[in-house]
Amino acid sequence: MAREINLNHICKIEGHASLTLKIEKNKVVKCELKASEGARFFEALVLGRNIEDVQEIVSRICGICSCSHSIASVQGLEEALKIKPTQQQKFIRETLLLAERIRSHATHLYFMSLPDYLGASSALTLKKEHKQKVLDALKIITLGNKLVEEFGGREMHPFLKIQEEVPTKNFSELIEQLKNTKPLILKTIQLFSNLQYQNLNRISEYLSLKEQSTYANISGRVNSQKETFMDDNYKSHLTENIKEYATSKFVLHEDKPFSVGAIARISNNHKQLDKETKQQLDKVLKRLNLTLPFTNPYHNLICQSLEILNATNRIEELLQSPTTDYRLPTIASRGGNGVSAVEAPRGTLFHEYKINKKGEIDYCNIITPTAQNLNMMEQDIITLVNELLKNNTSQKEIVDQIEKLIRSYDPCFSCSTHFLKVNWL
Amino acid sequence: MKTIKPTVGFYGISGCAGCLLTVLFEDCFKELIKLVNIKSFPFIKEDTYKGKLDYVFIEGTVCFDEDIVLINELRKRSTKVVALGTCACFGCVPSIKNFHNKEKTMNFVYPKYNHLKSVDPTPISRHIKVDYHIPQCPPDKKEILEFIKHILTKREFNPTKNPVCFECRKKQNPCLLEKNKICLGPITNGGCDALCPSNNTTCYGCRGPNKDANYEAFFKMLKKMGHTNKEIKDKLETFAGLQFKEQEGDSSKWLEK
Repeated sequence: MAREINLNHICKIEGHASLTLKIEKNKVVKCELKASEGARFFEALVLGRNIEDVQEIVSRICGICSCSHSIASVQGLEEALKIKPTQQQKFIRETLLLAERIRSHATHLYFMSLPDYLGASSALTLKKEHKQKVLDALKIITLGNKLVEEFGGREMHPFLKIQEEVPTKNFSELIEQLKNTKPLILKTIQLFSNLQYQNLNRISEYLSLKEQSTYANISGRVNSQKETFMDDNYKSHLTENIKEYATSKFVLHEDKPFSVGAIARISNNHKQLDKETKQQLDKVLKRLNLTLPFTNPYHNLICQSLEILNATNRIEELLQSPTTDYRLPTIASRGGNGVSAVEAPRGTLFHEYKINKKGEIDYCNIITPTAQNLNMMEQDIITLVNELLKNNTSQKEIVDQIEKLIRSYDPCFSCSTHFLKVNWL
Repeated sequence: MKTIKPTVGFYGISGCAGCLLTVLFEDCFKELIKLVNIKSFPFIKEDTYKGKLDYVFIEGTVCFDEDIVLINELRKRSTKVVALGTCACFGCVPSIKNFHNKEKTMNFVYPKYNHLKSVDPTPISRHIKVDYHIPQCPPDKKEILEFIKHILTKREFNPTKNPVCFECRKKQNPCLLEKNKICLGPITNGGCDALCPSNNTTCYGCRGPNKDANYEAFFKMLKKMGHTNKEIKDKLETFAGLQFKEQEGDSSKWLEK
């Protein structure tokens, strides 16, 4: 007998989404994950605009990832204008990106995912003994906020320009706050590596940026188990598909689903993690009897908790020796084409711009992490549900597990439904 | 005597979730849960409560038919509706689409396919009655708390009627108009403590048009400075274009180019 499972308006995710599953003879025959957000047409909105306005506009794709969108846009424009950013600009951008990652991961872990595992409907209704965890989360989020405000001028939608100069400062107060927050971050790793996750193992291709000696954040080559390519070549490797039922796009790598985000980054770049995070990772792997790469999508939560520690340590390192290179670049050309890829909280984010001779935008294309994860999410949902059906799991339990799975991907449907230009051959 | 906390909901329609995230920030959230009873907040909470709300805060721009359904339902359930952030108040960045060629926009972003039930991006006040506005992108945490404290003590919530320039002068920022930039400070409502100009960024008008501003004189001045109609138009359209168009009345002709 055929039956349908419909999850309308999935809560505790960023943005709006729903899922339709059709089951026949105890097997999933249809799985449609659908973003239910209105299209906001961002790539078209910047057309004809002066380059100065671009960051202000695209930052609004997502409040949670506003630093990442800002950095990718400014770097993409710089590429097009053949401007090399100064060391100081790179310093500011990496700090902003990591600060945002700390805040985004902490928000997702504690407010969206944790209640699922503690039998509560929200962080507001946690049992008394868990209340402290929410306060810890707020402290970690505040750390991210303070840092974004320091380098971006405000807590969200930072002020970021192609040319900028920040006076040298003593960052001792921020370093102090980083140190003070660290025990809470270690507690976070402890907490999330000890949750009871559904057993679900599969091989996923993981895509992320890669640098030789550092954990790649604002630059690097695009890397997966299969291949490595330059970010400006993204169009020959990634293809976007439109599905009739969805308002977001689905991205494939060499025609196959893949995933991005913390789980992909840690799996690919664990060698470039700082020493303390590496030790924590080793401990977690040992305790859970796991080897890299991660194969359970739910473990993205563990990876996010580890990345908060890594980001904190990296920011501390950056703040200890801020660069003093102030030479501002001069605009080298009036027009051109440029691509930038950065590691947003949820994974690799691509921005591409074409600037005409008048200094206006002629073309823009943006590929967000969630659009890249959607195919793999659908595939994982099918694997999970088929597995659960074999064990005669109740419908309620199936729905619970699906929601947990979707949340562990930390999807951002605001980002995914900004609507991308499709121009693939 | 224990006072009864008002029941409150926080909802988002098509938007960036930035306003909702702002509400969650420590200094806002900790205070907030002391003051109100948060019944609905789908961003962080299962949306099971379907009863009456004293206040509903709505983030986002109306971008498709489901947004209209949701805000109408929220209007019915709530005594007071608060538009939170520039999207809900004025349409914000998504509303730029109103000033572009619709067909071109659609085709650029979404060629061939047309299964989208998209509507013109508009502020919620074009669809439902809105009782209060808390503009700014992102909104100011302090202003959100300030608003709630006002309603709790039954005082009128009266944001400043001065333009951004008033606060900017007070902070003694160097004037960006004097640097030949298009800054909307003179025609935009203040209350933001001139945050953008203080960060060497021109005002894009995110708190909406100032009622007492002399638009004609301002546009004349910008043109005299050498700025083209397109440049001025682009700037005005970024955050509150629909509202500016409505506000400037007689001079709106040149906005059409």
